[in-house]
Amino acid sequence: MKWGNSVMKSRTSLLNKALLSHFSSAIFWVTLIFLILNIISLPLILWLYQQQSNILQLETINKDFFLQLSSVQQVIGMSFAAIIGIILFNYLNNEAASDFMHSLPIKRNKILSHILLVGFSAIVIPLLITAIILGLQSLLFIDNLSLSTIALWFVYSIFTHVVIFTISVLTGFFVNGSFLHIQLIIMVLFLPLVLWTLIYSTAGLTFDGVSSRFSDYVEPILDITFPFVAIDQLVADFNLSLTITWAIVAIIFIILTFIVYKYRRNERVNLSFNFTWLKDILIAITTVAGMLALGTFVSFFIEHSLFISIIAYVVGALITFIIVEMLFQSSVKISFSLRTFSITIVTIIVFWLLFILSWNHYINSVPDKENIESVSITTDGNTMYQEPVDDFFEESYMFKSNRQAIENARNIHEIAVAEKDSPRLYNENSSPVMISYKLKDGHTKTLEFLTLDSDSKVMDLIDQQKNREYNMEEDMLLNMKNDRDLDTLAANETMIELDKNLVSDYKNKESDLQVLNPYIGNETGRISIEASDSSNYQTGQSSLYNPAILDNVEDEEYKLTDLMNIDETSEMYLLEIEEGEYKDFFKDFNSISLSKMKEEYDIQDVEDAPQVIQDLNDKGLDPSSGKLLIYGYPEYSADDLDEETAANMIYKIISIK
Amino acid sequence: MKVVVDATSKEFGKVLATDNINLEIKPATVHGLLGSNGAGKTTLMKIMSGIYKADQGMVTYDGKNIYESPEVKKDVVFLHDIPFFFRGSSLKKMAKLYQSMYSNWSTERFNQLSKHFGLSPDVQLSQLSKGMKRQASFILAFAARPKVMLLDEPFDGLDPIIRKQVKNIMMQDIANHGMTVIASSHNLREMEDLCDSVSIMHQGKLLFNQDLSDIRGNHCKLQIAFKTLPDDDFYKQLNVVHSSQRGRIITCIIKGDISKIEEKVTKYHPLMYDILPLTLEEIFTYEMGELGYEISNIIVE
Repeated sequence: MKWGNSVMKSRTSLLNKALLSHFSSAIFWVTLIFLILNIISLPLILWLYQQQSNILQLETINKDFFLQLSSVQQVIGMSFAAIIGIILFNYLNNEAASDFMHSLPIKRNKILSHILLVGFSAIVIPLLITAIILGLQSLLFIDNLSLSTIALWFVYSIFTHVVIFTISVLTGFFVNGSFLHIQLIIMVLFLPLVLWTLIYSTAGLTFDGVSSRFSDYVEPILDITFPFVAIDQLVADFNLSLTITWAIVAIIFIILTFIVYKYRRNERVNLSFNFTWLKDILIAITTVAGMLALGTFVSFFIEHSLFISIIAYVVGALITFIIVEMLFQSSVKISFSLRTFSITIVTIIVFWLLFILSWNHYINSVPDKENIESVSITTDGNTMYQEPVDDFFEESYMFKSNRQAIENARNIHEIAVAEKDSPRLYNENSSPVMISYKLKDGHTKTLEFLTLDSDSKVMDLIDQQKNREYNMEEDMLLNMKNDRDLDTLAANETMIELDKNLVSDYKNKESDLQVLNPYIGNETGRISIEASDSSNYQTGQSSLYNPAILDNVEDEEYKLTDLMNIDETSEMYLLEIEEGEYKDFFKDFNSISLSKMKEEYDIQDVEDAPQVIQDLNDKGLDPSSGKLLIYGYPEYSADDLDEETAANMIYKIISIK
Repeated sequence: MKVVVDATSKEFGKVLATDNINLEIKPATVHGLLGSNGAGKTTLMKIMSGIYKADQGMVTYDGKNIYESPEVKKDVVFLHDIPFFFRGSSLKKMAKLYQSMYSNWSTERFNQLSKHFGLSPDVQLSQLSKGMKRQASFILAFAARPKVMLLDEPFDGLDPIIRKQVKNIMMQDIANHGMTVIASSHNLREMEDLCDSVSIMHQGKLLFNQDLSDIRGNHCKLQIAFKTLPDDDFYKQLNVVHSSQRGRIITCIIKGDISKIEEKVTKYHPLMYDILPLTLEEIFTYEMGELGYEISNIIVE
């Protein structure tokens, strides 16, 4: 008598409760910890903050505050999502467990569906509980925290956690072993950013022309670094298109998971990687990263030696290769694979070829003028490394869009390429030059040359272009947007607060600046301004010759000399000079020491400093007089400045009556 | 359920673990899969249980491919040589899983077997000895009432009494319910009493596949004493495939039609003779010798 018809068959259903129960129990305690940490990191912290805020008069809890605070929970949640992915698929890492599961009468896609369901539930349920607690808090205790904000947080958290979960799940099918799985998740999430940072740093140390404004070149990489995306959108602006893109990526990952699982070979369970090509690629890439890390580190501290840098790169590659093999083989006694080693060597060679060719091309290629919208050339070390925020300033800030300026910039770029050193080696006689192109396709290309001699043809050309007119584009107050709700506006050096209406007043008196002699306007009477709002802090330069500044001085309880940071104790000199001598004078002022300048020019010591101060405060400025006051505090200068330091590093100039 | 292994091959990198295996197992029989370590037995078992996908060929049960086929797998239970249970599980918990997976599951039988083997359903399986874990895996397998049971080194760790009990239950299910059993082992002596048919694997190849009754029907061992030793004609007439001599006593293995052996033997006027049963090992020794393989190299006790 056969089995079968005489016995009652068990009911079939879409979900296998025993399987669900098994997977759920595997992650139960971890999920409980996640729930507890969720409650601590958000509802509890908010409650404590609320209790303290009345006493200590802290910032009110509102949507922005809440979302920024939730970034801690995001880190916890993303870590949890990665961990449950590892735990749920751990059966694939063990031969006995894998054999047992795949001998059961259930299809792989059904096993996978059960696991995904358990994973999603483990993410959603604790978030839902936390959201309910937050909702009750908002109704009972926190007026400015709306239910819609909590709902937004809930949906956004599901999104971020699920994306990480899908990454964890998919990567698990490529390796066998929890430790390897963790490594692969970290690599997928962070290796692109780490590698790009290392490539860029190495380029910066190797090629003159590479800009130190890394942030201009890192945004695409940050967009693919999901943990950064997840947190950044809470503290900065929400990017809907990027969010949708990542949601689509997560869906694709889930689909890929089903496909990869379908073709997964169970017999490879005892191998560290299911696909040897993946192992070879990862070893090659991480070896390149390690090579760059050590090489860059050594090159940074030991300049002038290409040989030592090369040794450092070779040693870095070798050490990294061994360490990564140890990690991937989960053993310090590694099996050497000639194939893997060969692939790594070839990768390194190809990398260096591409690296050298592409960076050379990037630096040497001058954009076509048809593609350039505006350009900026600066040699001022104080402003060069600032990164103006788009919504703080007008688009034209620091950039010129006229045809002549663009042509000049291209010409300077070509000459700089010809005159620069290669590789980039420190030159104590050099002056920094930064050339930025805003291209019509929306990109910005910035080049920074640090090896050009201060008396090179490039510097000469820049000087010629710079002082053709007053540089309106470089005036901070002229280019600030009027509608900024500023928290502070102050003179940067003296911290004297300025009236926030100064921005519009300054712009209204713009015409006074246009008639200034360019050398006087650009090289003298400069005041460093700082401004901040709720999310930005910016500094820049403006002109004391704008009457709005002087009007502001009169209205407030400080003097012009307070703004200028000059008093009787300042070291002061006077010089009378013809307009035709401005070019040479300011060139020397920016390149040689004051003591040497005294040999060239009739620079006189000020005998009656208090009188000079009094005259200044008594409307003593006159940009057209040809009489210059040179002042400064050399004894308070930075330690690395000495008698040979260019005068402009220590002193300032103002044109007086 | 008829099990057919059709030209099945499986590679692990450069190693050919199974090479063009062709095998047909009759329903309601016990088939022994023999071979030394690394012969490819477990690989073949895993292909037959649907864990591995064959690189070439396929394994079918009543004409249906088992790989990724729950309809077939619900009637096939595979017992690995090392029993596996979910971490922290009890026998009862594993039973729930089996119940949800195997449509022929019988809770009544599960309870009977648990009681019979003296295993509490609530006991944590991780705390059991190796032998008791194997008992637990048999309980679950028998309670699932499969049509085909695949056993990899089934009796390893079981004491003789339990071993006998398991064999008895197995035989009952084969006889009463037509269950088919395929058991792999490197122990010829163990398989001898159990199997209806056997295959021998070596280095991935199937060297030999035959019913034991056919083998035994074609072979016998003759021990014969002569006053005067016979000439070569004796060996030819009797179709002796192997012989050994001690003094005037000859021990020989005879292959072929053994029904007229006595008639042929008496022609040579022996002092005395005896027809003895052959062990599986002895049969294979000579069969494999014919194929050019040294049995001692193949099957390790």
